[in-house]
Amino acid sequence: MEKIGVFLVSALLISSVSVSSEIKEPGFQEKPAIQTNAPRIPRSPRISLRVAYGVDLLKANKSISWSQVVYQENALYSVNYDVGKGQSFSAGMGYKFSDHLGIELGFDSASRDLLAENRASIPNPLYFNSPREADSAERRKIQESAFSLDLIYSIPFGKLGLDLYAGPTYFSTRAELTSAIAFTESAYPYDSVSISPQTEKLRKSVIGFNAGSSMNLYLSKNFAVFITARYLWAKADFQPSSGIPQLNLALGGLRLGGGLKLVF
Amino acid sequence: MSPMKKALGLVLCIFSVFSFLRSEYVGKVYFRAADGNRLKRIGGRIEAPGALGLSPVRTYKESPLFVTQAVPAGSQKSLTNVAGEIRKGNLLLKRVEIDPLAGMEHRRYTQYYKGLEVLGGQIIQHFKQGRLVNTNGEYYEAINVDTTPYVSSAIARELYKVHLVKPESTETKGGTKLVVFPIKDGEYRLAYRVSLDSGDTFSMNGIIDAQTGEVIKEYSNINSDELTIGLGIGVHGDQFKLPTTYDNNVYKLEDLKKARPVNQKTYDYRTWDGQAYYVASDIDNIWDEDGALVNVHAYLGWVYDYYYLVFGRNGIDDKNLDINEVVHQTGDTDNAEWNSSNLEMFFFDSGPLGLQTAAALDVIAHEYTHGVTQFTSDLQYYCDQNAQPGALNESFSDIMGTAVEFYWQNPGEGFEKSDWVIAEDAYSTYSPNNYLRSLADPNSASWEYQGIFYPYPCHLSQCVIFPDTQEGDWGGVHFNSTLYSHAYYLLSAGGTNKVSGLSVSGIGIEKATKIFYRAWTYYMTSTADYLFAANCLLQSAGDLYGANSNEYAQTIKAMEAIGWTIN
Repeated sequence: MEKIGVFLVSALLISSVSVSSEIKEPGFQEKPAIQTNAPRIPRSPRISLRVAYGVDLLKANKSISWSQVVYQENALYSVNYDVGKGQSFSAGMGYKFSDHLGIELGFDSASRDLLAENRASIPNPLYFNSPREADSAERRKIQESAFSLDLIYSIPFGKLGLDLYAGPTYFSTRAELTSAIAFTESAYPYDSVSISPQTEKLRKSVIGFNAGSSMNLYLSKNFAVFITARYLWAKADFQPSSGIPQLNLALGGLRLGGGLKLVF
Repeated sequence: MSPMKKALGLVLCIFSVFSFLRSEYVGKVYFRAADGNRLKRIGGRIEAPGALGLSPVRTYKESPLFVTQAVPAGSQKSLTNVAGEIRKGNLLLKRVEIDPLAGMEHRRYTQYYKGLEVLGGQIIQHFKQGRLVNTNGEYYEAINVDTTPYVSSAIARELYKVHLVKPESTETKGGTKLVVFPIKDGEYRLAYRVSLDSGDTFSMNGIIDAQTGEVIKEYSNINSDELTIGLGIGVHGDQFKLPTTYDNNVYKLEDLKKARPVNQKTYDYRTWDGQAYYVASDIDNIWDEDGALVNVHAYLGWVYDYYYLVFGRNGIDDKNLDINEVVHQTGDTDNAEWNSSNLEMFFFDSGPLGLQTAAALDVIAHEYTHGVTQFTSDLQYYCDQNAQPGALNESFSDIMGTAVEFYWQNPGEGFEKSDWVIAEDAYSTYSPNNYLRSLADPNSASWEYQGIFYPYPCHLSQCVIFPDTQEGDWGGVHFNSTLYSHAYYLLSAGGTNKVSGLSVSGIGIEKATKIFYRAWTYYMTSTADYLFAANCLLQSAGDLYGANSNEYAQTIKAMEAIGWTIN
């Protein structure tokens, strides 16, 4: 992901240099309203492209548990998922209807850490109420792709510009979840068990929403840097094929980041 | 170039680079070529092998699984173009298994034909560090089956129920499924896989032809290599886990070195046919009709466990001698016995007192301990003026019976509680006064001989030698046993001897049991007398805790309390 970021930033810098050089072409005419040589906030360009790199700030925790009869007694299983911070990359292409209103089609890709803590309490084969406990933890990933169609409201402040946006988001998420927990036990007298979770990569697509704002700083007529805060949300139910309880996860979260923007 | 075109070009560039970097390994699948000798690489973007002129190949040397892959010549089973079959939907990812030992990931695909699972059709891909290193499995080719069933799933289920030993079985969750079932090479049937169970110990799968209703195949979901654990209801209503064996369509009350490293068999004497009696059996492994069988089978396991867990002892002879017990022996006697010739235990059905000795954990441990004694000190079963090995033998059995009870049961009053009396659980109703002997207060119970009631002794001065007959308790082997079992009580729990008035501070049942166990198994001789036993105990306590220890001092006090003078 970091490589992608570096690549895109480089690409955009090259692109911006190229665009800047075009500004100096003889045919280009500045608008009379602008009296200084300083970069100005473009009012008329209608197309915008942006790329951003950010971090997911919100953590989440979810657990599922189930039981199964083993040795005439209930074996108890649980998986606790800690969804950690992650990194995100986003890109978007916007179109302005007016100085203030526009739409943007955006794409977000995020990868978040997923710590799965698997626990099992396995009955003793010989006695009631003498369970053996075992646990294991594994680091996995949640990959999340989100496509948003946002309505944007822009408020210019000199070189600065504030964009407020909101709209529906289509999430396509892939998570590697525990689908079953197998156990092996020590030989007689069966003092201990060890567990080996089986995993399944599940995909889920749901519709949610996103909203946020960006503060743009225009360094030239066509080029700006910005910081952004975006909140994305959707609920997804992941149902492992083994039939264990489904995991209800809130997708998205609060993402803070910064990026580059080109306007034409 | 117009700004719009540049922008679009840039966006396409960004997305293509990004999607390339995000692409999965799904496109890098190795498959077995038709010539069977090489693995060729195809990819999601390389639509045909060798499309880039690279044709990377791998030989079997790098794919050891293929060397042993059993795909007989002419068989319809083979490995195939995995990627292609995945794309067609004929192989669906069923499971991803993480193999931390080898640092590998194994993806298991199930074969489908027109949306129906092909039973047994599976391909497994093996990845190491994200790279496919091997593929194996079985893929059924040239399937041509009419996928329209003429028998409904409900009828198929009913047909299979009728076929089963237990027609009351019910369908398991998601239990009936239409599948393609390979009969033999090149022949397939549309069939229902019906899964029915009854309780946790009976679970069967049936393959029912979806065109004719024929039961093509059936197999159990119970893996016979795993432990078979039944559920038993004891005499007093408690539940027990019972290691059993599934054999010939019934569950047997025997554990053939599976759950425990010893053969244990519980026979039902009522099956006696003039030549033999047989291991008790049950149809569903829910043993809810005969508490005596349940208690004996479960409790003897517990006794074995106690000796193993506390003393590291492997069974009666420390070499895992088979544990054979016979329940429901007749004879109109309130008794249980260890038969030193046959090396079997017998538990009799009720006699005059109405006892069910099979229900009492201390009684069962008592009989088992007779076996331990036979293979250790071999204390002989008599009691006279010169030697009292029989009384010491019985004493040790009561001591260990009580120790086992305290190990497995919570202290208290009532059934299934640990206490200092013997056989209280053998009575049909609980009363604090219902027991055969008391270790805490031996005098509280009596032995009747020729119409005279003799209080069990708590002191040397109360011991009585009866005639060496059955009526005379072989000199008083049971009667005189309470001398040392009372000493054990004093050393464990502390107390004052009624006769001597001497007090002992208890050192706890665990330490006291170790002292007695070592004395009886390592020091005692087969014709030991009371005095010899006292010396064995002092030796044992000194060995374990030292001559200056409190444990040793209290052992001396216990001996003095029951009548010995220690110089």
